Amino acid sequence: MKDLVGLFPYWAVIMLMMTGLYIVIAQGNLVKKLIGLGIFQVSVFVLYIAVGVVDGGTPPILDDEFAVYSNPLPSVLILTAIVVGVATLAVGLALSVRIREAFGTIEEEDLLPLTAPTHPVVTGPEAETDTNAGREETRP
Amino acid sequence: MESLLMIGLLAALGAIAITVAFMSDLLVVAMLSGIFSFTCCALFVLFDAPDVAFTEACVGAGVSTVLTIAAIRLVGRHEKRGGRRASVVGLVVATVCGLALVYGTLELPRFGDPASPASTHVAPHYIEESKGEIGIPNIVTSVLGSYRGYDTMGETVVVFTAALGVLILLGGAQSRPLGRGEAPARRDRDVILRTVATLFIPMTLFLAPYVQFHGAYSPGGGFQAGAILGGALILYGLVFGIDALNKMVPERILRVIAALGVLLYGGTGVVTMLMGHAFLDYYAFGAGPSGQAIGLTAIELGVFMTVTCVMTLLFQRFAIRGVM
Amino acid sequence: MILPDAILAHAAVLVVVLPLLAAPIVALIRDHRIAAPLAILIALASVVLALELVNATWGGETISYALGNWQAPIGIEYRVDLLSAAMALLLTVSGSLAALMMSTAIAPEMAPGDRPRLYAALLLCMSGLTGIVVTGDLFNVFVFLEISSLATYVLIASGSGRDRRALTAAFDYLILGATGATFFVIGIAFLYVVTGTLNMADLGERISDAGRRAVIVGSSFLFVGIALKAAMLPLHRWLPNAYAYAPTVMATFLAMTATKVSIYLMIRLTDVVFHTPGELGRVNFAALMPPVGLAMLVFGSAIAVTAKDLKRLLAFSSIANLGLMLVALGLGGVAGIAAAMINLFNHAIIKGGMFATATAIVHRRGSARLDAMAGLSRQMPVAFIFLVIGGLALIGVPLTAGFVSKLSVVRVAFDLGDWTVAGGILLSSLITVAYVWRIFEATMLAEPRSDAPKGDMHPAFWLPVGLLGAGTIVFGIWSAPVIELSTRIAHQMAGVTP
Repeated sequence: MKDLVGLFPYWAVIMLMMTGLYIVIAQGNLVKKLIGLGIFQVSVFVLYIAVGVVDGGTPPILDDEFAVYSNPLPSVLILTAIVVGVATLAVGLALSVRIREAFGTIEEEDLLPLTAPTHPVVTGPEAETDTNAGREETRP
Repeated sequence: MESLLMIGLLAALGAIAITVAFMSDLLVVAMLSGIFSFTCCALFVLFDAPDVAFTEACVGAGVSTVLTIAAIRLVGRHEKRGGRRASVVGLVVATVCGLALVYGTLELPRFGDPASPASTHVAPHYIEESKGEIGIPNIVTSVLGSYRGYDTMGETVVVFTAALGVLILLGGAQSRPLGRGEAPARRDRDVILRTVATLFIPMTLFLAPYVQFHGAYSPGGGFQAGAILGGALILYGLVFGIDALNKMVPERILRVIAALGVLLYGGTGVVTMLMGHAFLDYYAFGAGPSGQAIGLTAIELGVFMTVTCVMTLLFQRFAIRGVM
Repeated sequence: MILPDAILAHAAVLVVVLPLLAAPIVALIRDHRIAAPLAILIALASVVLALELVNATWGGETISYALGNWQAPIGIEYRVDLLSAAMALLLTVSGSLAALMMSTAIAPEMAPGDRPRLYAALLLCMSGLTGIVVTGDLFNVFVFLEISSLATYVLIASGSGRDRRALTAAFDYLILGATGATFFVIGIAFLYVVTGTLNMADLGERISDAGRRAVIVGSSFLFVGIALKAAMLPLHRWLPNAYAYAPTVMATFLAMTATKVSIYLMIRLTDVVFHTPGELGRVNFAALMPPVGLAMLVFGSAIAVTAKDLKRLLAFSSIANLGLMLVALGLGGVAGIAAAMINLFNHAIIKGGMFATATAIVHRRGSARLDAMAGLSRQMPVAFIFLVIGGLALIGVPLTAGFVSKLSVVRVAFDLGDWTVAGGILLSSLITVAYVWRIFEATMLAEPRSDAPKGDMHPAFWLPVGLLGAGTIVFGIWSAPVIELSTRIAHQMAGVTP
C-alpha cells in the first residue's frame, strides 16, 4: 500500500498526459490541437522532473549547507525539451495561419473535403474562402 | 505540507486540462494553457527544479502564450462546435496509453526514492565531480553547457530552425503582403499599460544580463535570459506598436544575430577541434575550470543571442501580418 | 583515404556539424545564385566525410567519439559502426542529389529571396537525420529528430506555391510527428528511470537488471514513436499527402531518407539497447512485424493502383516497400537484417530515381497528375525511359535492383518455410504490375495533348536522375556491393565476424 501511495504523483501526471493526448486526437480546431499538444508535452516534462526528485533533497546548486541534491539530469533534458516544444508550436501556428489564409478555415471537418485528393488544385494563398466561420471575430 | 501542495497543484492542473477540452473560445483556451504552464512552474519549484520552472515560465507560459494569441488574431477566435461529439478514437487511445503507462509505473522506484537507478548511476558524477571539473555551483548549468553541451547546441539549432520555418511560411515573398502593425496602446487611453510597460521594460533589460551571467551560481542561463530579453522586446512591440519595435530592432538585424548565435556555439566547438581537442571540449581553452569558464561563457552567449532574436522574430512575424 | 588524419579523427562529428553550421550561413546569403552552389558544396563535402566513415568501419571497427571529451555515459557519445556509416552515406548522397536539383526544381514556385532559406532547411534536415544515425545517446536522438522534423514540416509546406494542400499535409505531419516524438520521450523516461543512463550501450548493459514492466512499457512507447515516423500501418496516414504535396524535389529527398532512418532506429534499438535482434525490449515486436508488413505491402500496392497522381502512386508504393523491409526485419536473424538493409538501400535508389524523374516531369509540365502525362513517351523520351526502369525495378524484374531486393526477402522466407510471406510478396508483385502498368498507360498510350510543353528534362536533372537510374540497373546486374555491405552490417549487428 505504501508503495502505491509513492506512485501516486506519476499516476496523476499520466492522467494529465492523456488529457492532452485526447485533446490532440479529438479536437477539430487546429490551434486547439496545438494547445493540446502543449499540454501533453508539459505533462511529460512534469513526469521527468518528478522522476528526479530525491527525498530531502534541494535543487542541484552546490552549497556547503546541503548534502542531498535532486537529480540534475532530468532538469537538463527538460530544458531542452521545453525549447523544442515552443519551436514546434511556432511552426505549427505559422502553418495554421497559412491554412486559414489558404482555405478560409482551420476546422478539420471543413478542411477534409477541401483537401481530398480529388479536389481540384488551388495554388497559392489567394484561395477562395469557403466558409466564413469566425471571420468577423478575427480581432480579439 | 509539501505533499498537500503537490496534490493541490496536480488537481488544479487536471481541472485546467479538462476545461481546455471543453472550451470553444480559443482566446480563453490560450490563457488557460498559459495558466497550466504557470501551475507547472510551481510544481517544478516544488520538485527542486528551479531552472526548469524559470524556463517554463519564460518560454512555455510567456512566449508560447503570446505567440498563440498572436496567431488567434489571424485565424479567428471561436472554434466551430457544430455537431462535434466526443471522439471515441481519442478516448480509446488515451485510455489504452494511460493504462499502459500506469502498468509501467508499478515497478518504478517510488517518488523521491534516493536509491533509484536514476539517482545512483550517472547523476552522482555530476553532483560530486562538477565542482572540481567545471567549477561552478549550478550543476544544471554544468550539465547543460558542458557534459551535455552537444544536446544544447542541437537545441539552439532547433530554435533557429523554427525561426527559419516561420520566416519561410509567414515572411516569404510568396505570402500575403505585409499589413501594418495593428492596435498599439493609444497614447490618450491606455495610460496604465504604457506606464507599466515603461517601468517594466528597463527593469527587464537589467534582469536579462543578470540571469545570463549569474546562471553559474543560481537558476538561469542563456535560454532564460534570451527569453526574458525577447519578452521585453515583445512587450515593447505590444504596447508601443510593432512599427516602433521594427524601428528599434529591424528584422534583418535579428536574423543575422540569430544565425550568429548558432555559429558562435558551433564555432566554439570548431575552435576546440582546431586546437586539437574533441568537439566542444572546453579544456582546450585552459586546464581545469578556467577553460570551462571560457567555453561556457561563449556558448551561453550564443544561446542568448539566438533565443532573444528568434523569440522577437517569431512575434514580429505573427504580429506584422495583416488580418485577411 | 583522401582526407588528412586531423580531419579524419573528427569525421564522425563533422559529417553532422558541417551541414548544421553551414545552414545559418546559407540562410543569411541574399543571393540564391551563391547560396545554391554553397549548399551543394557542403552536401558533397558531407558525402566525402561519410565515405571516410564507411571506409573506417568496413572491417567491423567501431568509432567512438566522446563529445566535449566527456566519456559516456557522463557525456554524449557518437558511436559509428558500418550500419551508421552506411546510413550516413545514404543520407548525405540523397541530400546532395536533392541539392543539385533544388535550385532548378523550385524556381517556378518560390521567389528568389526565399530560396536560400529553403536550401538551409534542406541542410538542416539532412544533418538532423545524420545526427540520428551516428549518435550513441538516446536523448540526443530526440534532439536531432526534432531538428530534422521541423525542417521537414517546412520543406513539405513549401509546396504550397503549387498546391495549397501542402499546408494541411505539413500540419498533419507536424501533429503526428510531434505526438510520436513525445511518445519517444516518454519511452526514454521509463528506460532512464530504471537504468539511470541515456547512453545506448550502457542502457543495453544495465537493462537486464531493470524492472520488467517498465522496460516493456518504455520500449513500447519508443516503438510507437518510431512506428509513427516509419509510417507503419495504421499510423501511415501522413505519408501519402506529405509526399504528394511536398515539392517533388523534397519528396525525392524524403522518400530516400526519412522513413529509412526510422527503420534504422528500429534495428539499432533492438540490437544495441535490447540485445535481441528483432525484438524490442522483452516484447516480441518481431512477431508483429511480418503481419503488419504484409498488410502494408498488399494495402499500399492496392491503393497505388487507384492513385490518379504519379507522386501519390509512388507514395503508396513506398508504404508497400516499407512493409517489405518490416517483413524482412521481422523474419529476424542475420539474414533478415541483411535482407532489410538490401531493401533499404535498393529502395532508396529506385524510389529516389523515380521521384527525381517525377521532379523533372513536374518541372517541365507543372503537374504530376497521370492524365497530364499523356504523350510523355514521345515528348520526354529520356524521362520516360527512366520511369520505365524504375517501374520495372518496383515490380522486381530481373536485372534490376528491385529483383535483388525481393529475392533476398523471398530467400529468407523460403529458408524459414514461411509461405505466407513468400505468397504475400508474390501477390504484391502482381499488384505492382498493375500500378506500374498505369504509369505506362498514362505516359505511352493516352492521346497526347498538342499544347504540352516542349522539351525533355532540364539539364539540371540529368546527373541525379541518371545516377539513380544507372544505380537501379547496375545494382541489379552487379548486386555484390549492396549485398556485401548489407551482410557485413548484419554480421556486425549480430556480433558475428563475417
